[in-house]
Amino acid sequence: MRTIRILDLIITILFYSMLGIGTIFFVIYTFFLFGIDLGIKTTTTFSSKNDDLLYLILFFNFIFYSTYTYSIFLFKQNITSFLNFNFFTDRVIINFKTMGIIYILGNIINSLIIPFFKQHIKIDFGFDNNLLNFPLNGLIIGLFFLVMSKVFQIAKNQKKENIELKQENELTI
Amino acid sequence: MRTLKIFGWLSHFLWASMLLLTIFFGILVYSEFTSSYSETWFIEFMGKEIHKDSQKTYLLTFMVLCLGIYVLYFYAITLFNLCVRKFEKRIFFDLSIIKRFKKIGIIFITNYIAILILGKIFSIHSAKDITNSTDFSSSVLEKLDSPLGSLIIGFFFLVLSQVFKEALKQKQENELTI
Repeated sequence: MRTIRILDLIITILFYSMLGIGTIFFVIYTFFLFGIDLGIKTTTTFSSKNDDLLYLILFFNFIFYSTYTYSIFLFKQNITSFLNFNFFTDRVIINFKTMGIIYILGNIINSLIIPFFKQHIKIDFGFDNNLLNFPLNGLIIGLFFLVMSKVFQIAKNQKKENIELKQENELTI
Repeated sequence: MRTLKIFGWLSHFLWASMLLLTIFFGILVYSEFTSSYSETWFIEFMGKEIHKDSQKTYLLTFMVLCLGIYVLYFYAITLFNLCVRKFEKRIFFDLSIIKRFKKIGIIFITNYIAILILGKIFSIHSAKDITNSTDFSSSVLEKLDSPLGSLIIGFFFLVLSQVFKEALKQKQENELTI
């Protein structure tokens, strides 16, 4: 149980810090888009002809970050469920599946689509602002969560069978 | 079970590429033992600059420790690959899987701590004029580390090992009831 508690603590810290950082970045980007100067040193290399592209990329960035934070929230939900000894529930299975899909899509976007646009846009706030570089982001991790969802589904069915068999047994006795 | 098949292929591919990289890094570290030492290095250990005479020992210790971390990652991926093979045979709740998950978890957490400590105690630059591009130790450790990821993955595998133990218990109960 101690392991689950430590993981719960790490995930909780990660989730709230991501939420905080995401909110700060969202506010900074919004001000930046409306041309309000916050006194932050920025260097932007972007042609004014492609303004729509800039908005599109920032919008995708925001969506991607939000879905990733949501996946960490789902992970946190699963860990809380484990803490309450609810291992094989529908909620846990769906959460693992959603997380897997988010990580696979994230990996595809990160490795295929973003590098193409990166040549056109560069907004530098003076520190590492690679919002798409996440700790759990990866194709293998994504597929692993999908497999976990299947494994938990099987375990849930076994548990259900177990309960049914016990009830039958008790009735026979 | 198409997901499992794709996952299996990726896992086998990862294992094979890691095997090649481990051999490559092994040869690289071995060549450092045999080659003559270049005196342009700047090495700091726990904040103290190392004298030229003992610099090679510190550099080799650092490289051997990094190789050790990589070999441990490779071992974890090997264990994981064995679990995937069991999954492919539709064996999910087995004692060997539980033990392997536990080992993988411990390896990931150990490596996270080891990289953290190595980063704090070693500062190795390939030239006397220190710039970002000469920072050898940070760039090597950066490649080995996945920020927070290895710690989360480590604990997640430990948790999974406990969950699978619970599932195995249920399966055994199920069989006993029958």
